[in-house]
Amino acid sequence: MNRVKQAIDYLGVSRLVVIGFLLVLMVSVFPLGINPGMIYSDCLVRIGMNGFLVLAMMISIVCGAGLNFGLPIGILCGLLGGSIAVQFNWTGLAGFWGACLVSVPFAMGAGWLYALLLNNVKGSEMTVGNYMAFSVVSLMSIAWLVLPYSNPKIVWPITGVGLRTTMTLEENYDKVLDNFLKIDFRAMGIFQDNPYWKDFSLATGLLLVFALGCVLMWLFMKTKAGIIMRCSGVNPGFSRTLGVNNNQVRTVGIIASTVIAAIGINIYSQSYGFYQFYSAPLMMAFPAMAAILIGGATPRKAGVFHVVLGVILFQSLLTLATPVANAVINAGSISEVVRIIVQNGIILYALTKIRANGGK
Amino acid sequence: MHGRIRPWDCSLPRRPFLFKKGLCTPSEPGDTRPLVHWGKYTRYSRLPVKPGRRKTLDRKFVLEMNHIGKDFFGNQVLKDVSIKVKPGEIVALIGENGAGKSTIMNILFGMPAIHQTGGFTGEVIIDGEKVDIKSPMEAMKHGIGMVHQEFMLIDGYDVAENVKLNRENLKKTPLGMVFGKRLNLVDQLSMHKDARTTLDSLGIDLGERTRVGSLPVGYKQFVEIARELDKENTRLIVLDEPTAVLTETEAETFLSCVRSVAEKGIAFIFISHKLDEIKNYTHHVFVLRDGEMVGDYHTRELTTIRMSELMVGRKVEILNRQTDGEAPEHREICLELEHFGVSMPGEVARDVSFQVKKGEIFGIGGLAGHGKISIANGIMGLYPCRGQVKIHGKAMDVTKTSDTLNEGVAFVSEDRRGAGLMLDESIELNIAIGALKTKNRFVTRRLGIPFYDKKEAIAYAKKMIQELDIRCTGHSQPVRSLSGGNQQKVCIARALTLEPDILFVSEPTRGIDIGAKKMILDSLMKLNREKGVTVIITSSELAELRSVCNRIAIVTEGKIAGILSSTDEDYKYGMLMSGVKPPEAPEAGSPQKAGAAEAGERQNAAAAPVPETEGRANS
Amino acid sequence: MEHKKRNKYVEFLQDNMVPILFTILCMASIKISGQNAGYVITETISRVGRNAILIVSLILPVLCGMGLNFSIVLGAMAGEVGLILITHWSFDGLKGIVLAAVIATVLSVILGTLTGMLFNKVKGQEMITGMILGFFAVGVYDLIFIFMVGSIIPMVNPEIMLNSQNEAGETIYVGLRNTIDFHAETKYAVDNAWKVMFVKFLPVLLGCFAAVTAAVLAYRIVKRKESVKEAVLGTKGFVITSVLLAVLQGMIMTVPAVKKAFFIVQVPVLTGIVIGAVCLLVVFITKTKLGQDIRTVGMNMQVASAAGIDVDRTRIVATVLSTVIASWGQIIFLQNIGNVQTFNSHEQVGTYAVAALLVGGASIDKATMGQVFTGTVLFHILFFMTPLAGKVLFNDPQLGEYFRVFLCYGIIAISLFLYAWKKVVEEKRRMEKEYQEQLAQLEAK
Repeated sequence: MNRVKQAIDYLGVSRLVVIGFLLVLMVSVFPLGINPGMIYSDCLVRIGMNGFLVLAMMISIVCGAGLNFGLPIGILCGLLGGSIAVQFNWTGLAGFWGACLVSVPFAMGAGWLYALLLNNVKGSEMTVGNYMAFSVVSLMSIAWLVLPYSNPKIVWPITGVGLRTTMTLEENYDKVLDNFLKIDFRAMGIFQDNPYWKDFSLATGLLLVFALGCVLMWLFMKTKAGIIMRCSGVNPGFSRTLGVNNNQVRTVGIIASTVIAAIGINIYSQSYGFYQFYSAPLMMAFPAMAAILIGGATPRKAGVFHVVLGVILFQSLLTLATPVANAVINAGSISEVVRIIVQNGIILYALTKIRANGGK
Repeated sequence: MHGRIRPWDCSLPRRPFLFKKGLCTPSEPGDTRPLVHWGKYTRYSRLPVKPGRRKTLDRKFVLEMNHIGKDFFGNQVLKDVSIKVKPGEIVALIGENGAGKSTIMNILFGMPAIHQTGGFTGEVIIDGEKVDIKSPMEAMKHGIGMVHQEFMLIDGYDVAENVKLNRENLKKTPLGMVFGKRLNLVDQLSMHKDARTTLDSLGIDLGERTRVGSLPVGYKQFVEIARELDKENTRLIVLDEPTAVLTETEAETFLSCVRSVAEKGIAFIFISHKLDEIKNYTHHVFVLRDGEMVGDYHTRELTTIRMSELMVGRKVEILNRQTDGEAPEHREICLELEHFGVSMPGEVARDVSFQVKKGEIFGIGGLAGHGKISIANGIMGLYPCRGQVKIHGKAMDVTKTSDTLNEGVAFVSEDRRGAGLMLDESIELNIAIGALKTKNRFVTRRLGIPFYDKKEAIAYAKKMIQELDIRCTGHSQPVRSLSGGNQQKVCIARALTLEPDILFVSEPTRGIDIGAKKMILDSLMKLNREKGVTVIITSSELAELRSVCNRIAIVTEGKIAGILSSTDEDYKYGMLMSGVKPPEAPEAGSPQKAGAAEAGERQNAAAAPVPETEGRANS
Repeated sequence: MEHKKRNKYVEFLQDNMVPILFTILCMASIKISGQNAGYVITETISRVGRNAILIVSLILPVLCGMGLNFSIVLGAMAGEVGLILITHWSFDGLKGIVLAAVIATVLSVILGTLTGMLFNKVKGQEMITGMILGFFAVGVYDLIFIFMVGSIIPMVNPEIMLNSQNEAGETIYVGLRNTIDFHAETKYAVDNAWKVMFVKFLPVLLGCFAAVTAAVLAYRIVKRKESVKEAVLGTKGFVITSVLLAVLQGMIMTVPAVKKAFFIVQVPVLTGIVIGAVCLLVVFITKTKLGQDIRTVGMNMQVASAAGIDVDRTRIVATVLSTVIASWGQIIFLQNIGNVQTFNSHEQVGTYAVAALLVGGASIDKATMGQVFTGTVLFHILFFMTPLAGKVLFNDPQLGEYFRVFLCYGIIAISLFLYAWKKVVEEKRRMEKEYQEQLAQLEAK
């Protein structure tokens, strides 16, 4: 009983309401005649797809830079790596990891510059970071047009220059992680007489990678460096008395966030099947932000648990909401609208809490 | 009433009405009439300025605060304090930090902090009417103004706009009639005219169109005074350490200005630590100590020495200090500061030099804002500093905090809830983190990667919880929910984990109840006795320093005013704190200063400034 | 002395770096695109006419210390709602526009109050909050106008709503169409109410400005007894505008090329009057007690509150005024376009307005009318010229398109960065100065 109470205290009432709502949605799938196997597998894939982007958000909070509105910068680096991989027709798992690997040095450079920027505008990181990211996204839009890509598969068909807005990965590494060790009931021929579960599949590889990322992050938080980063993020004034160089810690954290975001977008894209260029990365920071906040993090404090809980809650809610809403009120794109409201509502709420927590 | 003598009650012997400036000293003891300069002659002014006012001046008090008492959660901070101020009188309110000066002013201004904590006892009477002031705005309506220590001025506005802040002259507009007076136009022209008149009445040369941001500090005070005077009903102005940021000449100009305003019938309450100024410029002195009124004197009756005795004097309980063995004074030096300066906002130290012997308990005392706090912070590299620091004879670059920590220096911050603790983290992490960072303690290596050894940290934290008697539900309790005393113990535990040779403790007992206070001081002494740690305590509470320290350095205006032994007399402490060297102190500084102090004694209560300054310059 | 003078020029250049840089960019893109002057001028006037009020709406929050108000999106939405309603009721023409403005005003007072209350909770983070609030409001707006109109809110109008079949096979109307065309009388109602040829209008305008300038100068010199120099400096906005107009008039009369360029230009006088009235209103407000309070709060909240100014209320009032003015601005904007993109028209309103203001040389804590108009002109010339220039230069209009988006975000990002950075540096310098001052004082003792 005590345990239960402790757990409730830990989660907080608002999160319990969200969890309850999610459970209702999950159960309501059955009477509404929606294929639960399919929708649940979809949820899992969405969780795996977005997980890394949320992890990137976490490390930025932990190091004291707050919500990382500059996530698109990391995403652009990932796209750059990915487009190089496709340009040279890299394929399969190796191709995918190659793309990630190529992204990393770009992300490290960009992250370092971004950290330099943020360390000079302490107190206004969010506003400056946001518009800096927006302008970098639009700058890269020009770059996508003028960089010397030549693979006919990825450039505009008629002019032959400039990347297309979406680039298919069908011949490269579409769903390589999803299909790695995939448990697919239909393909394996099990539970085929069960109407509910016959279409269930588990994107094992994708989830394994996310789990691996979480475990590594969790382990990092247990190391001396991780503890000191946390301390520096929670109370920079205090960590200074311990002789910690806060700017350095922040730099490391922001670089890490950028690198993880770069890898994250590659993971996202391989599962999605496309790379999206131009204005697509513009708004990608916001779902990640909302996810970690719904998981119980604040703009000052976050942990791996918040990442996992947040991404599960947020992404499952969104995935389930569409078919359920369609079944109940038959209103096509309502879930997209609800996503916008929920996502930005959560961020707004968190912003009002920054001051309430005594932020200056 | 206290049967005190008012300047205007004295029947003075006839004196020459006019005398040439500088030919003779116009003011003599007992004569407090202000001087009026008239060409090259100087004469006494006829007091009061307007004869019609005399009646009201005679008997009535502009402010009476009778039998004021106040407690914060059972902690009595004011006991039966009474203050009476007559129109045109400059009344000084003195006392150490924490004596209750600001509390009584907060009561006068009806600050929300007072009402939220259960109000106060006693009565406030303004102009013979009992009032109940609920907010600073109400106080303003009753004609009480405040000149703040931190300027309440808008840098981007000119002088007139600041003088008229939120009382702008308005011109009616049609829109204003419909939508309320906020849509009336601001009448800049008449505003500037009014401000000019007020500034002229102050007799200062200050353009009403000058931007306040570009004014020197000294002038900003005048703008604040002008603002109070510009209000029609102002009767009493409270000056909260107005001269703290002024140079000597600026302060003199300012105080003469105050005096001339007082002549027009406006009363002042003057809060200051500068006893010379109080001696020279006020009519009456109230001394507070530990929330009690210990002195209610005519300024004339007091010397600066007596004032400081009254402020500081109390029984000092000397705790069981180490007496056996070699006296610490003869041991080797472990910390040496030479011309050390720190730019910590609000607590600037500029030229601090002292030496601390190994195994000593050294105290740093002084008034708030004079720079004592910044010394430890500067050594820890938290603020930019200059000068030289030698630890164990080795010159250090103190900007590198980790080097200093590696040298065996530990620091317990005065800002406990800010830079002192991670409030939302557990006790165990708060204790262990220092040693984890600096000493690589609580580290286990797995695959060559240094991991935090939580188990060891927990075991250690449990030990410390027992040893220091930290009252908590367990090692994982977040420190936010601990009481102040226990939080402080956690801070000390963290410092101890570093096994320091030198331990800086700043304000160890601030905001802590008495039981925990003793406990903390005891543990510091135990540390010193058993492990031979050199402890350097910075504290605003002199009594506390004197009870545990061997020697105490008093910091005044960013400098070491003197180093005293804990057995020295009270008044010496008081004098050092108010920037006056005690006359018979062994290191008695320049004869000039001592002379000035004595000259000050000879001066009369409200003596004119002219001869006083001359006396100082000549001596 | 010589040295000081040069410093003054350098200072002027530094202070006006952004507008100067953008003027050069504008010139370059006009030159590259090879468009004729008549086209450029016509287009510029029409764009300035429809955007100016939206940009003016940003001034008050800037003065109040809340930075650039990205949440004018809410005001824009209120304006759209007004226009959609009059279209629905077929209440057309100028009187319809007035009704729309009234509806929009009521709505934006409510929305502005809520926004102001939110801003009071996030002091210091108003800009990012305003931006996210904009996104949030877009979501709510979509929810109402895609799903609730027709289903929860009873409303049937085939002209502006989407139709679909329900299970019973009846036609039902749920949600608004993506594009709603205004009725013929409403379209351009304000613009076309009174159009005048520019060449005929200019002398009148010049006359008006000259008269007002002379009157103000006379008042200052005679009544307030200021010296001529002081008076001119005090009214420099009027003086400069009059001089510029006079120069233009002179050029039109003497240089045939200029005359030709301006000959086809028509001026929507009523729009001009509306813009002028809104500008006057804002200027008037800054000169009232309310304006004084707004500036006081903007400069120092602590001092303002100690002086007895209701800081929170003042901030709310500033936000409300900004939202209301933005809603009028959006109405003027849309009647000029002739239709409303129900779900897209308001999306970039905040970003474009803010970018334009910044191009004019404003910063996060300073904005004047002059900057509004300089910024509007420069930004919008660049805005429609860059794709054309991009087409000529790279044979790809897309590039110019991206370039202008980049300019838009870039100018905002750089302004925000410079402001934040300046604040940090100034704080450091201030502390250092304070330390030196205190040291000097202590030394003096």
